[in-house]
Amino acid sequence: MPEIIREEIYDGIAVYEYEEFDLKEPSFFVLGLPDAGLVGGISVSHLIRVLNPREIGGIDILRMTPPIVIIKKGDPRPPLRLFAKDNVLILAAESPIPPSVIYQLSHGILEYSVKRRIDYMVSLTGLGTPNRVEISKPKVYWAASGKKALEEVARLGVDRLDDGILIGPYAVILKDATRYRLNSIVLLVECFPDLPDPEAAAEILKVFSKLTGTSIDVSKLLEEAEIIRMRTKELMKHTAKVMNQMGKSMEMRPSLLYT
Amino acid sequence: MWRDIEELRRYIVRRMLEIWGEIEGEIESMMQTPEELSSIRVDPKEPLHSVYEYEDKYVIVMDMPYADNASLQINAYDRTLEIKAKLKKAVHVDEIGYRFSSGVIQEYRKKITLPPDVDVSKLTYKVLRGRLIITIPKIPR
Repeated sequence: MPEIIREEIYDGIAVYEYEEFDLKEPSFFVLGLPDAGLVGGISVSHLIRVLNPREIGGIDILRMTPPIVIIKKGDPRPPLRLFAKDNVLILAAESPIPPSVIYQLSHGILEYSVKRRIDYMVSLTGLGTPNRVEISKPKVYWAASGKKALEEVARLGVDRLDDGILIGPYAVILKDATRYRLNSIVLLVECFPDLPDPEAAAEILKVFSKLTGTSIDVSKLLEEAEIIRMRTKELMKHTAKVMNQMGKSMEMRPSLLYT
Repeated sequence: MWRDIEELRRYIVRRMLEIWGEIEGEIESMMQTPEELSSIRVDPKEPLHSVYEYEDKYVIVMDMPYADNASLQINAYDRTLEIKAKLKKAVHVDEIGYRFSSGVIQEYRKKITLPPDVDVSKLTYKVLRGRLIITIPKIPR
Protein backbone atom coordinates (compact mmCIF):
# COMPACT_ATOMS: atom_id res chain seq x y z
CA MET A 1 0.00 0.00 0.00
CA PRO A 2 1.27 3.53 -0.69
CA GLU A 3 2.50 5.41 2.37
CA ILE A 4 -0.44 6.75 4.34
CA ILE A 5 0.06 10.40 5.23
CA ARG A 6 -3.29 10.85 6.92
CA GLU A 7 -5.76 8.48 8.54
CA GLU A 8 -9.16 9.23 9.99
CA ILE A 9 -11.30 6.64 11.76
CA TYR A 10 -15.06 7.12 11.91
CA ASP A 11 -16.75 4.35 13.92
CA GLY A 12 -14.84 1.46 12.37
CA ILE A 13 -14.42 3.13 8.97
CA ALA A 14 -10.84 4.10 8.19
CA VAL A 15 -10.22 6.74 5.53
CA TYR A 16 -6.65 6.90 4.29
CA GLU A 17 -4.98 9.58 2.23
CA TYR A 18 -1.75 8.84 0.40
CA GLU A 19 -0.96 12.39 -0.69
CA GLU A 20 -2.00 16.00 -0.20
CA PHE A 21 -4.65 17.12 -2.62
CA ASP A 22 -7.11 19.94 -3.08
CA LEU A 23 -10.34 19.92 -5.00
CA LYS A 24 -11.38 22.87 -7.10
CA GLU A 25 -14.78 24.39 -6.44
CA PRO A 26 -17.50 23.43 -6.78
CA SER A 27 -16.34 19.97 -5.73
CA PHE A 28 -18.21 16.76 -6.50
CA PHE A 29 -17.77 13.54 -4.54
CA VAL A 30 -18.97 10.75 -6.85
CA LEU A 31 -19.97 7.45 -5.31
CA GLY A 32 -20.16 4.35 -7.48
CA LEU A 33 -20.90 1.29 -5.37
CA PRO A 34 -21.92 -2.03 -6.97
CA ASP A 35 -25.70 -2.35 -7.01
CA ALA A 36 -28.59 -2.61 -9.50
CA GLY A 37 -27.27 -3.29 -12.98
CA LEU A 38 -23.77 -2.51 -11.62
CA VAL A 39 -24.56 1.01 -12.86
CA GLY A 40 -22.56 2.69 -10.09
CA GLY A 41 -19.55 0.43 -10.50
CA ILE A 42 -19.46 0.52 -14.30
CA SER A 43 -19.97 4.33 -14.36
CA VAL A 44 -17.13 5.16 -12.01
CA SER A 45 -14.87 2.60 -13.63
CA HIS A 46 -15.39 4.39 -16.96
CA LEU A 47 -15.04 7.78 -15.29
CA ILE A 48 -11.67 6.73 -13.90
CA ARG A 49 -10.57 5.52 -17.31
CA VAL A 50 -11.63 8.71 -19.09
CA LEU A 51 -10.52 11.30 -16.51
CA ASN A 52 -7.33 9.47 -15.47
CA PRO A 53 -7.42 10.82 -11.91
CA ARG A 54 -4.75 10.14 -9.29
CA GLU A 55 -5.41 7.51 -6.67
CA ILE A 56 -5.17 9.62 -3.53
CA GLY A 57 -6.52 7.31 -0.86
CA GLY A 58 -8.91 4.60 0.17
CA ILE A 59 -11.54 3.50 2.67
CA ASP A 60 -11.34 0.35 4.73
CA ILE A 61 -14.16 -1.18 6.73
CA LEU A 62 -12.20 -2.39 9.72
CA ARG A 63 -14.51 -5.15 10.94
CA MET A 64 -15.85 -6.31 7.58
CA THR A 65 -16.32 -10.03 7.22
CA PRO A 66 -14.89 -11.54 5.16
CA PRO A 67 -11.88 -9.20 5.19
CA ILE A 68 -10.92 -7.97 1.73
CA VAL A 69 -7.78 -6.47 0.28
CA ILE A 70 -7.44 -5.49 -3.36
CA ILE A 71 -4.11 -6.30 -5.00
CA LYS A 72 -2.93 -3.98 -7.76
CA LYS A 73 0.48 -4.74 -9.29
CA GLY A 74 1.37 -6.69 -6.16
CA ASP A 75 0.47 -3.76 -3.92
CA PRO A 76 -2.42 -4.03 -1.42
CA ARG A 77 -5.28 -1.53 -1.43
CA PRO A 78 -8.36 -1.18 0.76
CA PRO A 79 -11.62 -2.46 -0.75
CA LEU A 80 -12.84 1.08 -1.53
CA ARG A 81 -10.52 3.40 -3.41
CA LEU A 82 -10.44 7.19 -3.74
CA PHE A 83 -9.38 9.03 -6.89
CA ALA A 84 -9.21 12.78 -7.46
CA LYS A 85 -8.84 15.16 -10.34
CA ASP A 86 -9.69 18.87 -10.56
CA ASN A 87 -13.04 19.19 -8.83
CA VAL A 88 -14.02 15.52 -8.84
CA LEU A 89 -13.39 13.01 -6.05
CA ILE A 90 -14.38 9.44 -6.95
CA LEU A 91 -15.13 6.50 -4.68
CA ALA A 92 -14.93 3.09 -6.37
CA ALA A 93 -15.56 -0.33 -4.84
CA GLU A 94 -14.60 -3.75 -6.17
CA SER A 95 -17.24 -5.65 -4.22
CA PRO A 96 -20.74 -4.98 -2.91
CA ILE A 97 -21.11 -3.52 0.57
CA PRO A 98 -22.36 -6.04 3.17
CA PRO A 99 -25.68 -4.88 4.66
CA SER A 100 -24.27 -5.06 8.21
CA VAL A 101 -21.84 -2.16 7.58
CA ILE A 102 -24.01 0.11 5.45
CA TYR A 103 -24.74 2.62 8.23
CA GLN A 104 -21.13 2.82 9.41
CA LEU A 105 -19.77 3.20 5.91
CA SER A 106 -22.37 5.77 4.86
CA HIS A 107 -21.74 7.91 7.93
CA GLY A 108 -18.00 7.54 7.47
CA ILE A 109 -18.40 8.88 3.93
CA LEU A 110 -20.55 11.76 5.20
CA GLU A 111 -18.03 12.65 7.91
CA TYR A 112 -15.20 12.61 5.38
CA SER A 113 -17.22 14.80 3.02
CA VAL A 114 -17.66 17.37 5.79
CA LYS A 115 -13.93 17.30 6.51
CA ARG A 116 -13.12 17.76 2.83
CA ARG A 117 -15.78 20.47 2.46
CA ILE A 118 -17.41 18.71 -0.45
CA ASP A 119 -19.93 20.91 -2.25
CA TYR A 120 -22.01 18.09 -3.76
CA MET A 121 -22.17 14.37 -3.09
CA VAL A 122 -23.34 12.55 -6.20
CA SER A 123 -24.48 8.93 -6.01
CA LEU A 124 -24.80 7.02 -9.28
CA THR A 125 -27.17 4.10 -9.13
CA GLY A 126 -29.61 1.99 -11.07
CA LEU A 127 -33.36 1.77 -10.75
CA GLY A 128 -34.23 -1.90 -11.33
CA THR A 129 -36.89 -1.93 -14.05
CA PRO A 130 -38.52 -5.25 -14.98
CA ASN A 131 -39.34 -4.13 -18.53
CA ARG A 132 -35.87 -2.68 -19.12
CA VAL A 133 -35.38 -5.03 -22.03
CA GLU A 134 -38.09 -3.15 -23.95
CA ILE A 135 -36.45 0.25 -23.27
CA SER A 136 -33.95 1.36 -25.89
CA LYS A 137 -32.86 4.54 -24.09
CA PRO A 138 -33.06 4.22 -20.29
CA LYS A 139 -34.34 7.28 -18.51
CA VAL A 140 -32.40 9.08 -15.79
CA TYR A 141 -34.06 10.55 -12.71
CA TRP A 142 -32.83 12.60 -9.79
CA ALA A 143 -33.46 12.77 -6.08
CA ALA A 144 -31.70 15.38 -3.95
CA SER A 145 -31.41 16.87 -0.51
CA GLY A 146 -30.02 20.31 0.32
CA LYS A 147 -30.96 23.68 -1.11
CA LYS A 148 -27.98 24.01 -3.45
CA ALA A 149 -28.42 20.43 -4.69
CA LEU A 150 -32.05 21.13 -5.59
CA GLU A 151 -30.96 24.19 -7.56
CA GLU A 152 -28.34 22.21 -9.46
CA VAL A 153 -30.61 19.36 -10.48
CA ALA A 154 -33.26 21.80 -11.71
CA ARG A 155 -31.01 22.78 -14.63
CA LEU A 156 -30.17 19.19 -15.66
CA GLY A 157 -33.22 18.60 -17.80
CA VAL A 158 -33.98 15.23 -16.25
CA ASP A 159 -37.08 14.20 -14.38
CA ARG A 160 -37.37 14.16 -10.66
CA LEU A 161 -38.05 10.76 -9.09
CA ASP A 162 -41.47 11.70 -7.84
CA ASP A 163 -42.32 8.61 -5.94
CA GLY A 164 -40.15 5.73 -4.85
CA ILE A 165 -38.07 3.90 -2.29
CA LEU A 166 -34.30 3.83 -2.13
CA ILE A 167 -32.48 1.07 -0.26
CA GLY A 168 -28.84 0.74 0.64
CA PRO A 169 -25.93 3.11 1.31
CA TYR A 170 -27.28 5.82 -1.00
CA ALA A 171 -30.50 5.88 1.03
CA VAL A 172 -28.53 6.67 4.19
CA ILE A 173 -26.41 9.29 2.44
CA LEU A 174 -29.41 11.01 0.86
CA LYS A 175 -31.48 11.18 4.02
CA ASP A 176 -28.67 12.05 6.42
CA ALA A 177 -26.82 14.56 4.23
CA THR A 178 -28.86 17.48 5.53
CA ARG A 179 -27.95 16.59 9.12
CA TYR A 180 -24.33 16.96 8.11
CA ARG A 181 -25.12 20.20 6.23
CA LEU A 182 -24.14 18.55 2.95
CA ASN A 183 -25.79 18.67 -0.45
CA SER A 184 -26.56 15.25 -1.88
CA ILE A 185 -27.75 14.26 -5.33
CA VAL A 186 -28.72 10.76 -6.38
CA LEU A 187 -28.91 10.05 -10.10
CA LEU A 188 -30.91 6.93 -10.89
CA VAL A 189 -31.23 5.29 -14.29
CA GLU A 190 -33.62 2.59 -15.46
CA CYS A 191 -31.67 -0.64 -15.66
CA PHE A 192 -31.79 -4.40 -15.41
CA PRO A 193 -32.01 -5.22 -11.70
CA ASP A 194 -29.56 -8.11 -11.80
CA LEU A 195 -27.84 -8.06 -15.19
CA PRO A 196 -24.86 -5.77 -15.90
CA ASP A 197 -26.11 -2.72 -17.79
CA PRO A 198 -23.31 -0.63 -19.37
CA GLU A 199 -25.85 1.11 -21.64
CA ALA A 200 -27.65 2.45 -18.56
CA ALA A 201 -24.31 3.50 -17.08
CA ALA A 202 -23.60 5.50 -20.27
CA GLU A 203 -26.89 7.39 -19.89
CA ILE A 204 -26.18 8.30 -16.29
CA LEU A 205 -22.69 9.51 -17.20
CA LYS A 206 -24.14 11.88 -19.81
CA VAL A 207 -26.20 13.53 -17.07
CA PHE A 208 -23.24 13.53 -14.69
CA SER A 209 -21.20 15.24 -17.37
CA LYS A 210 -23.81 18.01 -17.56
CA LEU A 211 -23.95 18.31 -13.78
CA THR A 212 -20.24 18.73 -13.28
CA GLY A 213 -19.32 20.46 -16.53
CA THR A 214 -16.74 17.72 -17.12
CA SER A 215 -16.66 16.28 -20.62
CA ILE A 216 -17.12 12.50 -20.51
CA ASP A 217 -17.03 10.52 -23.74
CA VAL A 218 -19.13 7.37 -23.38
CA SER A 219 -18.54 5.99 -26.88
CA LYS A 220 -15.86 3.56 -25.72
CA LEU A 221 -18.12 2.38 -22.91
CA LEU A 222 -20.81 1.54 -25.45
CA GLU A 223 -18.34 -0.09 -27.84
CA GLU A 224 -17.06 -2.32 -25.08
CA ALA A 225 -20.48 -3.04 -23.57
CA GLU A 226 -20.38 -6.71 -24.48
CA ILE A 227 -16.96 -7.39 -22.97
CA ILE A 228 -17.96 -5.41 -19.87
CA ARG A 229 -21.05 -7.58 -19.50
CA MET A 230 -18.91 -10.71 -19.68
CA ARG A 231 -16.27 -9.32 -17.37
CA THR A 232 -18.73 -8.25 -14.66
CA LYS A 233 -20.85 -11.41 -14.67
CA GLU A 234 -19.42 -12.79 -11.44
CA LEU A 235 -19.55 -9.43 -9.65
CA MET A 236 -23.17 -9.03 -10.76
CA LYS A 237 -24.12 -12.42 -9.38
CA HIS A 238 -22.46 -11.62 -6.05
CA THR A 239 -24.02 -8.16 -5.96
CA ALA A 240 -27.47 -9.59 -6.71
CA LYS A 241 -27.11 -11.91 -3.72
CA VAL A 242 -26.19 -9.01 -1.43
CA MET A 243 -29.03 -6.87 -2.82
CA ASN A 244 -31.40 -9.71 -2.05
CA GLN A 245 -30.19 -9.77 1.56
CA MET A 246 -30.88 -6.04 1.75
CA GLY A 247 -34.38 -6.38 0.34
CA LYS A 248 -33.45 -4.24 -2.66
CA SER A 249 -36.44 -5.52 -4.64
CA MET A 250 -38.63 -3.31 -2.43
CA GLU A 251 -37.49 -0.39 -4.61
CA MET A 252 -39.68 -1.74 -7.38
CA ARG A 253 -42.88 -1.81 -5.39
CA PRO A 254 -45.43 1.03 -5.44
CA SER A 255 -45.61 3.37 -2.45
CA LEU A 256 -48.39 2.93 0.05
CA LEU A 257 -49.14 6.57 0.72
CA TYR A 258 -50.43 9.06 -1.82
CA THR A 259 -48.70 12.03 -0.16
CA MET B 1 -23.30 -3.51 49.30
CA TRP B 2 -23.46 -7.22 48.42
CA ARG B 3 -26.80 -6.57 46.77
CA ASP B 4 -25.20 -3.91 44.53
CA ILE B 5 -22.37 -6.23 43.60
CA GLU B 6 -24.83 -9.02 42.78
CA GLU B 7 -26.84 -6.61 40.60
CA LEU B 8 -23.72 -5.51 38.82
CA ARG B 9 -22.69 -9.13 38.28
CA ARG B 10 -26.08 -9.98 36.78
CA TYR B 11 -25.93 -6.91 34.52
CA ILE B 12 -22.47 -7.85 33.24
CA VAL B 13 -23.54 -11.45 32.53
CA ARG B 14 -26.66 -10.25 30.74
CA ARG B 15 -24.72 -7.77 28.58
CA MET B 16 -22.10 -10.37 27.72
CA LEU B 17 -24.83 -12.77 26.56
CA GLU B 18 -26.43 -10.00 24.48
CA ILE B 19 -23.12 -9.08 22.88
CA TRP B 20 -22.32 -12.73 22.17
CA GLY B 21 -25.73 -13.13 20.55
CA GLU B 22 -25.03 -10.12 18.34
CA ILE B 23 -21.65 -11.52 17.35
CA GLU B 24 -23.17 -14.89 16.47
CA GLY B 25 -25.88 -13.20 14.45
CA GLU B 26 -23.32 -11.15 12.52
CA ILE B 27 -21.19 -14.19 11.79
CA GLU B 28 -24.23 -16.18 10.68
CA SER B 29 -25.47 -13.48 8.34
CA MET B 30 -22.10 -12.88 6.77
CA MET B 31 -20.46 -16.29 6.58
CA GLN B 32 -21.60 -18.60 3.86
CA THR B 33 -21.52 -22.34 3.72
CA PRO B 34 -19.36 -23.96 1.04
CA GLU B 35 -22.58 -24.82 -0.83
CA GLU B 36 -23.69 -21.21 -0.83
CA LEU B 37 -20.24 -19.99 -1.80
CA SER B 38 -20.04 -22.40 -4.70
CA SER B 39 -23.46 -21.27 -5.84
CA ILE B 40 -22.06 -17.76 -6.36
CA ARG B 41 -19.32 -19.02 -8.66
CA VAL B 42 -20.31 -18.38 -12.24
CA ASP B 43 -19.30 -20.72 -15.05
CA PRO B 44 -18.03 -18.42 -17.82
CA LYS B 45 -20.02 -20.49 -20.35
CA GLU B 46 -23.29 -19.91 -18.49
CA PRO B 47 -25.03 -16.63 -19.25
CA LEU B 48 -26.70 -14.70 -16.44
CA HIS B 49 -30.47 -14.63 -16.52
CA SER B 50 -33.44 -13.04 -14.79
CA VAL B 51 -36.97 -14.36 -14.55
CA TYR B 52 -39.91 -11.96 -14.32
CA GLU B 53 -43.33 -13.23 -13.39
CA TYR B 54 -46.44 -11.53 -14.73
CA GLU B 55 -50.09 -12.40 -14.25
CA ASP B 56 -50.29 -14.50 -17.39
CA LYS B 57 -46.70 -15.27 -18.33
CA TYR B 58 -43.05 -15.55 -17.41
CA VAL B 59 -40.39 -13.55 -19.19
CA ILE B 60 -36.83 -14.81 -19.02
CA VAL B 61 -34.06 -12.41 -20.01
CA MET B 62 -30.72 -14.01 -20.70
CA ASP B 63 -27.62 -11.86 -21.08
CA MET B 64 -25.62 -13.30 -23.98
CA PRO B 65 -22.97 -10.87 -25.18
CA TYR B 66 -21.26 -11.86 -28.44
CA ALA B 67 -23.81 -14.62 -29.08
CA ASP B 68 -24.29 -15.65 -32.70
CA ASN B 69 -28.05 -15.53 -33.02
CA ALA B 70 -28.01 -17.82 -36.05
CA SER B 71 -26.64 -20.65 -33.88
CA LEU B 72 -29.20 -20.19 -31.10
CA GLN B 73 -30.90 -23.38 -29.91
CA ILE B 74 -33.76 -23.31 -27.46
CA ASN B 75 -35.25 -26.54 -26.10
CA ALA B 76 -38.08 -26.59 -23.63
CA TYR B 77 -39.37 -29.85 -22.23
CA ASP B 78 -41.15 -30.79 -19.04
CA ARG B 79 -39.95 -28.08 -16.68
CA THR B 80 -36.57 -27.54 -18.25
CA LEU B 81 -35.39 -24.80 -20.54
CA GLU B 82 -32.13 -25.48 -22.33
CA ILE B 83 -30.26 -22.77 -24.24
CA LYS B 84 -27.21 -23.15 -26.44
CA ALA B 85 -25.51 -20.62 -28.67
CA LYS B 86 -22.09 -20.20 -30.21
CA LEU B 87 -20.18 -16.95 -29.76
CA LYS B 88 -19.42 -14.76 -32.77
CA LYS B 89 -15.84 -14.70 -31.63
CA ALA B 90 -13.96 -16.84 -29.11
CA VAL B 91 -13.22 -15.01 -25.86
CA HIS B 92 -10.20 -15.96 -23.78
CA VAL B 93 -11.07 -16.11 -20.11
CA ASP B 94 -8.11 -13.91 -19.17
CA GLU B 95 -9.58 -11.21 -21.48
CA ILE B 96 -12.50 -11.01 -19.06
CA GLY B 97 -10.44 -10.97 -15.91
CA TYR B 98 -10.14 -14.61 -14.80
CA ARG B 99 -6.64 -14.47 -13.41
CA PHE B 100 -5.89 -18.08 -12.57
CA SER B 101 -7.82 -19.80 -15.33
CA SER B 102 -7.09 -20.49 -18.91
CA GLY B 103 -9.33 -21.44 -21.74
CA VAL B 104 -11.57 -20.03 -24.33
CA ILE B 105 -15.32 -19.42 -24.28
CA GLN B 106 -16.77 -20.37 -27.62
CA GLU B 107 -20.33 -21.15 -26.69
CA TYR B 108 -23.01 -20.54 -24.10
CA ARG B 109 -24.96 -23.31 -22.43
CA LYS B 110 -27.58 -23.01 -19.75
CA LYS B 111 -30.34 -25.16 -18.22
CA ILE B 112 -33.07 -23.53 -16.18
CA THR B 113 -35.78 -25.24 -14.18
CA LEU B 114 -39.10 -23.67 -15.04
CA PRO B 115 -42.04 -23.07 -12.69
CA PRO B 116 -44.73 -25.77 -12.76
CA ASP B 117 -47.41 -23.61 -14.40
CA VAL B 118 -45.70 -22.90 -17.75
CA ASP B 119 -47.02 -23.86 -21.15
CA VAL B 120 -43.78 -24.50 -23.04
CA SER B 121 -45.66 -25.31 -26.23
CA LYS B 122 -46.43 -21.60 -26.56
CA LEU B 123 -42.92 -20.36 -25.91
CA THR B 124 -41.77 -17.39 -28.02
CA TYR B 125 -38.47 -15.59 -28.09
CA LYS B 126 -36.60 -12.68 -29.58
CA VAL B 127 -33.14 -11.21 -29.32
CA LEU B 128 -32.95 -7.55 -28.44
CA ARG B 129 -29.71 -5.64 -28.03
CA GLY B 130 -27.70 -8.78 -27.26
CA ARG B 131 -30.17 -10.18 -24.76
CA LEU B 132 -32.37 -13.19 -25.37
CA ILE B 133 -35.95 -12.66 -24.25
CA ILE B 134 -38.06 -15.77 -23.82
CA THR B 135 -41.75 -15.45 -23.09
CA ILE B 136 -43.64 -18.46 -21.79
CA PRO B 137 -47.35 -18.13 -21.02
CA LYS B 138 -48.80 -19.64 -17.89
CA ILE B 139 -51.23 -22.51 -18.14
CA PRO B 140 -54.68 -20.96 -17.65
CA ARG B 141 -56.30 -22.02 -14.40
